[in-house]
Amino acid sequence: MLHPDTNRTGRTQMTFAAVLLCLLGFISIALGMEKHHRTLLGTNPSKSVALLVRVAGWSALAVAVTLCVSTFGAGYGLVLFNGLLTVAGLSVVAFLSSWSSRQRVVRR
Amino acid sequence: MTRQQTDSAGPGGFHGAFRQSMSWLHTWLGLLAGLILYFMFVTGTTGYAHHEITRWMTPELAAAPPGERRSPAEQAEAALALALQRNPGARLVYLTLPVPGREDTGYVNIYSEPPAAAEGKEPREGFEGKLDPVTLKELTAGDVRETGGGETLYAMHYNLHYIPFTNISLFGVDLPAWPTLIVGAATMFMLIAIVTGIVVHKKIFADFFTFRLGKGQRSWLDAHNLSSVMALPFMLMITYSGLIMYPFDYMPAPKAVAYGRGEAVDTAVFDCEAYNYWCDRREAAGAPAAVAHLGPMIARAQSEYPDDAIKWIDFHNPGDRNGTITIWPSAAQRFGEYPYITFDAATGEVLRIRGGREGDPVGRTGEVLLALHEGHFAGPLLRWLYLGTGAMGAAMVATGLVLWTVKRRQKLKGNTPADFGLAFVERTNVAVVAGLLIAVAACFWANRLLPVGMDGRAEWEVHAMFIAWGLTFLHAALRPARRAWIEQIAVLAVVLAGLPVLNALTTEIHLGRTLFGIGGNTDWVLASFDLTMLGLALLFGGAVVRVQRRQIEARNYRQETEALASDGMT
Repeated sequence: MLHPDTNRTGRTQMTFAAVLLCLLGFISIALGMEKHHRTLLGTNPSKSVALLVRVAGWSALAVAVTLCVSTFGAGYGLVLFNGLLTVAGLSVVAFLSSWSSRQRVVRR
Repeated sequence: MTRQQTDSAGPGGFHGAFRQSMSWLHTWLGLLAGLILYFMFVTGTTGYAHHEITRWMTPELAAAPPGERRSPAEQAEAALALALQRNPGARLVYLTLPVPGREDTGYVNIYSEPPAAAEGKEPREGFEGKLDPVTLKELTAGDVRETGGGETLYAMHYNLHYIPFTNISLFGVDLPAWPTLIVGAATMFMLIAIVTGIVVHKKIFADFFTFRLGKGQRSWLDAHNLSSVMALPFMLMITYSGLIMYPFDYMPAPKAVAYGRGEAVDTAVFDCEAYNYWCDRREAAGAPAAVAHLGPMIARAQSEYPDDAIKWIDFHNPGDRNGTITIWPSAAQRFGEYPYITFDAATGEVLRIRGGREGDPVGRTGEVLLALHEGHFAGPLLRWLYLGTGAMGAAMVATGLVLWTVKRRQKLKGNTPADFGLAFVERTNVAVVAGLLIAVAACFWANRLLPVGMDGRAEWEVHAMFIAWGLTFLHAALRPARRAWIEQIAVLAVVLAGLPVLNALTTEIHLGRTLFGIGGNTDWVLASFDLTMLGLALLFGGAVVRVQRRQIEARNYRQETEALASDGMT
């Protein structure tokens, strides 16, 4: 839990950091998948790169959940983390979807 | 050959057959329960903002200048006096005080139950009312419009509103009320649909971030998968907790064995042991005793919970020597904790202080699941996330329903007309998915348009909602399914966009004031209601424009190619 002295701004900053980490995490995990890697970078990832970004992605999510739990407590923190995951996941989906349709237009 | 051998020899082996039977279960249970589940998701989701919705639905209170409110003790004393004057000998009185912040309703809510009736007689009505926290006078239908508010709207997702909520007995077996049974069956279907859905979804990881737009059935499947997978923890939690919330209704046998049945159950003992509530309630002594001053009791409770507002006060047999008073702080700051203090009503002596984490572990588990389900503890951001994931649940059911018809539509060859089953589901889908949202908007319209002093006004708001819903079914039955979709979503966008306008025309809490302080104080809670309606209107309006434009493009393209083809022939 946050120290009682930590004010609301502190919690807002922590939440913001957690959202960014979730976004980073999901983008990295997507980069570790062949299909999305091709969409974003146009190449297939080598095995080591795929592993690396995947590990980085999961680590970012692990840091995010730790941040949430240490700031808000286990109960509230886990619920909030799940909500943030949903937002981050949907954002990555929307980004990949619009990116790939733009790519298709360009290639045409 | 044994069955198992057939399975493993069949297409895809055992896993293929298993997945196929799960797919069958998912498809048909989903269709069967889809209507009720969609209704539950939409109305239930409004519950995460039910205080805010109630505020919007009582504009007289929301617009009133924030006068100097009397102390919680003065409010409670006045409310109790009013309840006992209007309902002498009340067995139970529940007060909900207005607490600062998002839960602020602007009035003291009073609910009371009548004294037990004499043998063979129907008990008379209890008293329910509102008290002004500034003047300490009763708020009547002339002061503030009668409305069910957000409470009635969200309660529909478990009481189904029109179906009587009384326990039933079939062949000597005690069963819960019909709504509880229906909602329970639907929730069980939902749980099965989620689990089978995960089994059926072959590429849950490979397709994790995939959304292919403009690809017909594929796109609908992607949308269906995404809305469920992206919020899967929420979906599992909301379904499981909703089901487990009524353990003794759905699994009555253990309670019957341990505590007896019907009248024989000692409710006080049961509630205490199962829920950690009301452990100190006692039989009425039959000897009158005045209720002690509430001031010291409320002060005592406040010192116990320095960071929380005092929110609920319940009186059991007030005016009896054995009466008790229980005071609860708001649950807004606590995760799954519902602490309370119980006092002796006559002497004001503390009988029990229950810490939020104390109590029977089973009851505690129930409390945490309740908190997760209802999000009592959620701050503004988490509340929006709850609203969003709830809406995703509605979208999951809606896309599932659409997918059922799209799959069957695509199997039709050429211009074969749809059979009755497909046509029926296509049309009901329109009225269920788009129609229900129009109906909810109609409820808000009725809140602003029905005359303020009208008899049975609160009930007519709900009637308006269901009449509107009925009309959307009629409309869907009369129009081709594709046109019906476009028309109903267009109507939806218009009625949603109309709400802030209607609000500005009929009340003083228009966006000009709530956002910019023109003619009064700004108010973010009220503004966010209007802005959410506008946002939804833009979303649905945008969808209609997009679909319409694509249809026109497709028609032009067809005409051009036909023209080219006929040119080529000459």
